[in-house]
Amino acid sequence: MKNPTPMVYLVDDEQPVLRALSRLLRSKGREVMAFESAAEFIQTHRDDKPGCAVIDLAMPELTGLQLQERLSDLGSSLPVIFLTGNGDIPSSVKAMKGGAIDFLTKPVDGDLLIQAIDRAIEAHTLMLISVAETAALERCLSTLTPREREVLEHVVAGKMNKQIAADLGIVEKTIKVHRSRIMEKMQADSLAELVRMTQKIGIEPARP
Amino acid sequence: MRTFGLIPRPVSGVWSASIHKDFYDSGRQMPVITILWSMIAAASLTMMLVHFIVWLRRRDRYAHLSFAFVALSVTGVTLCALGYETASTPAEYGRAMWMIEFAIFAYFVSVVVFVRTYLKAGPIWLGGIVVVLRLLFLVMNLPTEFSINYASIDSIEQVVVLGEPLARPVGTLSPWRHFGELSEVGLFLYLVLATVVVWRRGEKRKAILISASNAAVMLLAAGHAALVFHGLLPPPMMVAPSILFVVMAMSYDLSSEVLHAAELTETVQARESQLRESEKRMDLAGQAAELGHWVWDMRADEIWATQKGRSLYGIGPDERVTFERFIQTIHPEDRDAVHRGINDSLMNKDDFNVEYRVVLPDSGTRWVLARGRFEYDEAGQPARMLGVSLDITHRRIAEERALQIVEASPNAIMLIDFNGSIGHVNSKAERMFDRPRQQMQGLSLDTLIPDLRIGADQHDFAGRLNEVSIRAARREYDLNACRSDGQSFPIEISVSPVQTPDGAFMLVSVIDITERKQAELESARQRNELAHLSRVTMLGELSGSLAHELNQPLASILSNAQAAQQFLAKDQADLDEVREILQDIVDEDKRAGEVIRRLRLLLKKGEILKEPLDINETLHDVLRLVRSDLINHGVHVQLQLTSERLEVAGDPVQLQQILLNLVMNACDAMAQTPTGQRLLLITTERTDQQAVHLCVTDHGCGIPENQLRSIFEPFVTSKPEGMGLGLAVCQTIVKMHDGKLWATNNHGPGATFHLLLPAASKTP
Repeated sequence: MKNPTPMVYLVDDEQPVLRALSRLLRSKGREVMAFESAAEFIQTHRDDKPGCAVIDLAMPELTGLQLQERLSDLGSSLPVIFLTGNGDIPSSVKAMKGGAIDFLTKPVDGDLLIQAIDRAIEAHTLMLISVAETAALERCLSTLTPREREVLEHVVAGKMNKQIAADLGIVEKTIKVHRSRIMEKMQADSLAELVRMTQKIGIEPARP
Repeated sequence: MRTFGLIPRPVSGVWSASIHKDFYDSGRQMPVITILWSMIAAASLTMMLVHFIVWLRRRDRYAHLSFAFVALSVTGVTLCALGYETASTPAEYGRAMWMIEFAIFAYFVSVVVFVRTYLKAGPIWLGGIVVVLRLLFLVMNLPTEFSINYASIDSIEQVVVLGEPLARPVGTLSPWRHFGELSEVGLFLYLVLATVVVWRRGEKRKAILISASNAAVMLLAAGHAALVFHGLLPPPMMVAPSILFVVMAMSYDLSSEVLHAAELTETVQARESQLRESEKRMDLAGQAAELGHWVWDMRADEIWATQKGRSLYGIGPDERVTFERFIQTIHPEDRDAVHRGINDSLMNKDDFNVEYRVVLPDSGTRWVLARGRFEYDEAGQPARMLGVSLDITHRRIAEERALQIVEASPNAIMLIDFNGSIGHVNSKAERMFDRPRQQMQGLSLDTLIPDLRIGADQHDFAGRLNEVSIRAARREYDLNACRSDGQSFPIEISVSPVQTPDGAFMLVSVIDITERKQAELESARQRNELAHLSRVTMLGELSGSLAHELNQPLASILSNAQAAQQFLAKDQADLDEVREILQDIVDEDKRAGEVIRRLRLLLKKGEILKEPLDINETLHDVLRLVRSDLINHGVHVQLQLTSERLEVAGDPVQLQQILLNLVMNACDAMAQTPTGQRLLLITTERTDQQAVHLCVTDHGCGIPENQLRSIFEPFVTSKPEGMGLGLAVCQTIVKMHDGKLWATNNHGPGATFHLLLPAASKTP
């Protein structure tokens, strides 16, 4: 994967604040997209690229928390950082429970904000990578024949070829052939790696 | 004619028995002259008796006594004349003639005296001379034999007159008779002079009847007697009848006097009884009216009074009252006043009118009002005073009580005349203005209350006073008074007219309201404190919004500044960008400053202003302040405002307080309402009566009907942590702005709060 530039989405109903925050982030070399209205943001943002959203809590029409709900409903993976003018405890608790990365009060120190954004982007990036990885594995898995699939389950259970042959009623040799083909298709270098892969994509090892 | 046998026959030789015998024998010829002369004597005697008796009854009427003597002398003269007329011998004649001189002397004396005392005329010296002359004549007569008139009588001729033989003397006349004639002339003159005097005096009747007739008759009788004397005429001498005529005339006059006196007596008695009657009536009237009538006879130094009058002064019913006695009844302290009253009355020719105390014998005191009027005699000197006295103890007690009440009043009370000068004041007024009452009396009221001098009409003091008191009561301005040291203090006055015996006055009641004013100020101050407290509490509840309002600009400033720092750290700094940044910083700073300024305004506890405010603008200010809270509560605001500028007069801070309160209450009311339905509608409009109507309508839980009024009362709240003062304070503020605040429930869900404020007037 290429490394696309992470995008920071700013959502605040007050222009001066948007302007100031944009300037600050740009000065620190970040890419910024500023939105005055939450609706517009929902329309425009992309969660398949690394990024994060910095959202003002108190906004008319759609409050920050409501926006958070909306994103979650939409299944967006974009991490959310909340900025607020008045930091009351219930709101912050709600926000964190809803899955926000962080909850900052205005006036916010630029460095603190950058740190939070970086953390968020890193997490997002990692998540995205993880997602990409899982997708690749899924693709590999789909190339396996059903028999191979079956053998795979037994292999990652740590069974000997002999045993697997006996469990499945197939000759050992054939098991060995399947095994090498699985390793090849899955692009795994070792048994340990194979086990890790199946764990990742959620394949259960067979019972002994 | 047998009766003539009853004619008395004196034993002396005056009457001759033989004549009568002859008379009888001559065949019943009546002795006419004797009868007549006897009748004359009897008549005269009768008159003497009558008038003597009158004198006995009225000893002061000496006229009657002297007349009695006249009559008596006339009787004597007549009897003597009869004696000589019927004399038959010279000795008889001479005797009779001799005796008559006594009678004539008596006549002369008594006539002189009578004329003198009754007519009060006739020169005394002449009368005296006449009497003396006649006395001398009498004395000279004494030793004679045939009387002084005759030297000798030789014989008696008998002349029959009317059937009766009368005597005519034949003899020699004595020259001494001229002496007698002289006295007769003297008497005649005396009588004439008396007549003249009396006539001139105007008592013509008296003059004629008494002296003139006497004189005339004298003249005639004397003349006739002389003629008879000289034999030219037959006897008798008409002396007796003529003086009887005089006597009768005199008697008539006297009788008229007596009658007149009797009539007068009757009149006097009638008048006296009338007087008693009217006295009795006056007494009764006096008793009924409690009036005592009195008359002070100044010359006699005696005071008459009705029974009531006497009892009023504690004087016994029969006591004789002199002026000194009267003064004794008066209280020593009041005696001067009475004397002065009398003097003033005399000098000014005015009625006497004094009130004084009378000390009663049982040592009680009563107040008496005495009124009197002087009566003057012909010389213009005061002769009497007539008057009435009235017991005014009750009135005085009532007056004193009224005075006590006025004195005891906690307010200053002053009686002012219609020119503004101060009459009576009470002791509270003395204390209030710090002046003794003698100093205040006579001063003009505007010396104490200078505000009264302001006004167009300088002459109508009463009107000005009335107007000032009304306007001050309406709180149109503050009225102040001055103490003696010039210190000013606020007052309230009320004015009412009173009618007193001394005329019409204005009763002015003055209250020193310094304390009240201070209390009012204190109360206003406390109200202000409470409003401030409420406001601060409310703003405390808005902390969310407040923090937000400040944090926004602060956040901008911080981010901008840090961005600028970053830009400037680069080798090639984009200065344009930095300039933009700095401008933004400045703007945001100002915005923050503005927020703080507004906040400070709301938080301060300042003087209450009264300035024209645009209600829409005020509303916008408030909404800006609570914007964040509204967002937090999820409340959506809808405005329906008038397009024109709607001005009300008031304090901006306090008005914002009201609007803030209403908006926050509306938010709280919609806390349970589903999110999309939290609508807050605010409308403003101008009413017909030049007022501004603002409505704050929510879609919340509404207000129970029975609490629509009570929510504006203090300590009524639906919030568990609330004090319930917000709306109460709002109501106070609204009242001070002459407005109205009330709540209604909507047809649908929720309630509406209405604020009505009078529009600011065009004139400042």
